[in-house]
Amino acid sequence: MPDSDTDDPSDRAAERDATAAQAGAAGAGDPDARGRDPAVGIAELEPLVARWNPQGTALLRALRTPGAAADEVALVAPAGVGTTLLRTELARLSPRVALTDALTDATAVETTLGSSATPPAAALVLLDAGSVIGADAIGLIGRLRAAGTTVVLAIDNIHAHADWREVRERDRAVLAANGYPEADILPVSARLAAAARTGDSALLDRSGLTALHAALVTATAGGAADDGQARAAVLTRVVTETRDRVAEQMAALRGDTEIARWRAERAALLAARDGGRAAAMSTLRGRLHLARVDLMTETGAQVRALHATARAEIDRAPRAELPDYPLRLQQAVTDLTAVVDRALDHRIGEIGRRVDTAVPPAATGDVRAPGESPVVPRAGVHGESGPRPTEVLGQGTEVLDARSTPARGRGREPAPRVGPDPEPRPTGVEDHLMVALGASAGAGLGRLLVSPLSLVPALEVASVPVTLALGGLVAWWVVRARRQVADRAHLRQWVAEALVTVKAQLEQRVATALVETETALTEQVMRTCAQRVVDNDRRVAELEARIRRAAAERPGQLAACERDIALLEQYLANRGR
Amino acid sequence: MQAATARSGQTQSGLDRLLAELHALGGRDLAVAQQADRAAELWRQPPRIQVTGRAHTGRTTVLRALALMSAVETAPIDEPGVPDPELDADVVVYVLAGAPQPADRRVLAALPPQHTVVVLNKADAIGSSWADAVAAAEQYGRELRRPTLPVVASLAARTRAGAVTEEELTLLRALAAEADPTLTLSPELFVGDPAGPRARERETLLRRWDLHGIACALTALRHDPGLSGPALLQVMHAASGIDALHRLLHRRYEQAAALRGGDLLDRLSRLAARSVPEAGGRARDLIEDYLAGDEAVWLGLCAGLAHPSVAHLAAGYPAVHPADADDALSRAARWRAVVASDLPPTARRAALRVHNGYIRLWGRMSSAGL
Repeated sequence: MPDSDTDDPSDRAAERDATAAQAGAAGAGDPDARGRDPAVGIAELEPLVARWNPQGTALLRALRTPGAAADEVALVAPAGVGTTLLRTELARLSPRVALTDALTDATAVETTLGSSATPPAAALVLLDAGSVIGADAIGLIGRLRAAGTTVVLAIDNIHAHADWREVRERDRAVLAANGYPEADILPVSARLAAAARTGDSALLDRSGLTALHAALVTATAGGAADDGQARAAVLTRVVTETRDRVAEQMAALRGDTEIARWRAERAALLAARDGGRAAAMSTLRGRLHLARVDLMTETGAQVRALHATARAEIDRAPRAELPDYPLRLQQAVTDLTAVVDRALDHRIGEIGRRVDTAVPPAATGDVRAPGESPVVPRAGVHGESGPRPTEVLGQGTEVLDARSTPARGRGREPAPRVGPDPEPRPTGVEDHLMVALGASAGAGLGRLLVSPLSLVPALEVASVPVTLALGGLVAWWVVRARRQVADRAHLRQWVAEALVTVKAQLEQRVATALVETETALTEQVMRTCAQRVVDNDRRVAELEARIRRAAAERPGQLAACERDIALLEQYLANRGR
Repeated sequence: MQAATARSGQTQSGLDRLLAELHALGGRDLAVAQQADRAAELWRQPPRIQVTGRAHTGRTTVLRALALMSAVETAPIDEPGVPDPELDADVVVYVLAGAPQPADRRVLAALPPQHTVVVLNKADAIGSSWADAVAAAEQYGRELRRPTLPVVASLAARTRAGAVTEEELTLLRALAAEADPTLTLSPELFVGDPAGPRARERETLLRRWDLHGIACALTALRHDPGLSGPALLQVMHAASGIDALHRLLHRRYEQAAALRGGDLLDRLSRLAARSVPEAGGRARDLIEDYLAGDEAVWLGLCAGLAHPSVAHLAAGYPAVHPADADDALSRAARWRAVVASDLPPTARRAALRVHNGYIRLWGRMSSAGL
């Protein structure tokens, strides 16, 4: 198994940064290393190459390993487009590693092993990153090992599977459980290597192809180790590659792209120094004002509508129902309160959502430049961890969300009372007047009616009681009619007064709720923004430190890179001679 | 298939009547009634679906993408030290993730082809484009002699529920404007260093839509930058390839159900043959009446058409039900020729059922029988 110093391709970019830093530090301590020895030997170049190009070092080490003659590597892999691509990419690297045709399964391997007297010195078993190693492959590895073959394990297609590390760990665990605890699995991606043909060495490192190549060369014990010329060619190639890498790093250092990016980020963060508080507060205030105006208007309209309905009902109601009317009015007021509450909840929920959009809750803790829209979907506010189930109300299609349900005790507050029942109407002078008027009118009417009776002498006796009776009847009727009209007018008056009180109470209810909302939301905005300001400041400080450090270290790093390039070029020139 | 479902409703009632009548006979025929009950029970069980494959091939994701209530996920195939799970369902969905391994071939060879659907999951990982995945799936299908469909189940599971938000659309448009070819090569590159300050948004995007989905959406947006969110979702859903799998699975499911109908008829025929009409037993008459009825003939027709040895002959029919009496007659004539051919006996028996079914339909449609 090859040495696993190039374990994880994605760590290499970081490694290279560290390499540049080291180079700077080393260069500072050793100012004129190059002047002393014009004929640079490979031994001196070794640490340099190891720093910049670990795969190259692995290859050089492999070349030095003494071993058997070059041999074909048995390739155990499923036949497919991926395998073909990997062969192509491996063939581009020198020294060339000869691969057999892909052996797809155990029987093919058996045939190959059985046909030749000597089993292949090495075998490359290609696993797929899409699935975990199975019992068949384990058995196959066991047979190959038993035949004395060095087995190099690799998982292909790491570019396409985001979870290839997990798969690799599981593969390793399975291998360890089946008696191969030391087995290492090289991650490789032929597609990334193909994409790196443009000369992107970071991408090439990420693809893991060079590491696999070095491992194969080690496994075949030297490849063309006996051939001095071939070895020299490889050496030259490794040194050239290393020089290219150093040059790339220098270009990156000179190009300042990194620092420019940091600066841009810092500027964006500084522009949003208050964490978006001003914007959120103005949004909040504007929305609250709008809500107050709207809700007041709406409440007024509702109360007026109720008043009109009440008057119509009083006019139409039979006399017997009038005493119960205050109860019915109370019922109507309670219903109206529910409607107002619902509208209020709806508005408050809407305001909460708006504020959330303006200032996403601090829970995510991320820092964004202004003008960028938040991507994180809105999480619950007021400490809830997720969206609560919403509730659809019967009337209309308003949907209440979590924040608008009465968490502030508004729902427990009773609906406004219409006040005490109307006092009994005081009997005034009009009532007495009505009695007198009714009586006199009745008497007059009676007399008119009985006047024919006086023609008959026998009936004249009856005329007086009839007149009196008719007079009494009419008086009673007039008084009753008058009382009804007066009662209704009294009730109407009472309703008007009661509804004025109710309206005032409802408006107070709306105002209180809005003030409570304002307090709660302001607090939330403040908390969120404070958190963001702290995060912003921390990030800005970090960026500034990074920019300063980069600016301070860059000359040293550049000098070190130049020195390394000079060394490498000197070596190349010596070899060229 | 509305006709089929309508008819199966009738059949059920016909079968119920038969069972009730058999039970009413009592006495010696009670045993026959119980056996008929058992046959009906077997027929009424819904077909089972198993989703299987090697470890980490995405069985759970495929199951989630298909959203099938009746499907069951099995233990992984080819697990070292563990025996392979028993695959005895009516339809087996076999999930591959890449080229079939020897273990896959071994297990698939033991499964009946007409009951198996092979899914090439993680098809976006194969080659450099979808065409490579389709070619690979075709090749594997040829090797395994079973239809193989390329699918990206992780994307299908995401497009099943959810919508492309306005923010995501903005980000996707911005990404589509960048022309970096390595952008969608690997998830790590997508959220890696060059993404810079927007890495977090990209990460969210990746978590929501999968790299394959993003790549498809970007391609679509490059062709038509004005695409809306729902249209993009549609594009991504189509790119996951799940619909073709759904169709195939649906067909297999119907076939399995139809074949069960054939089994029911076989069982009832055997039962009728065994119940000797002695001492006034009427069980045989009742069963034979039922078998000669329209319902049983229709079941036989469906079962015959679904039979794997002759199913290919029915491939040209737009529906099981013929368009008119002439169509029914010409179909019957064709199946008559199949019955007279030198196919194996099971195939001839299936063809005979189809023939009888079409003759009966012709009779009903043309009123020739009356």
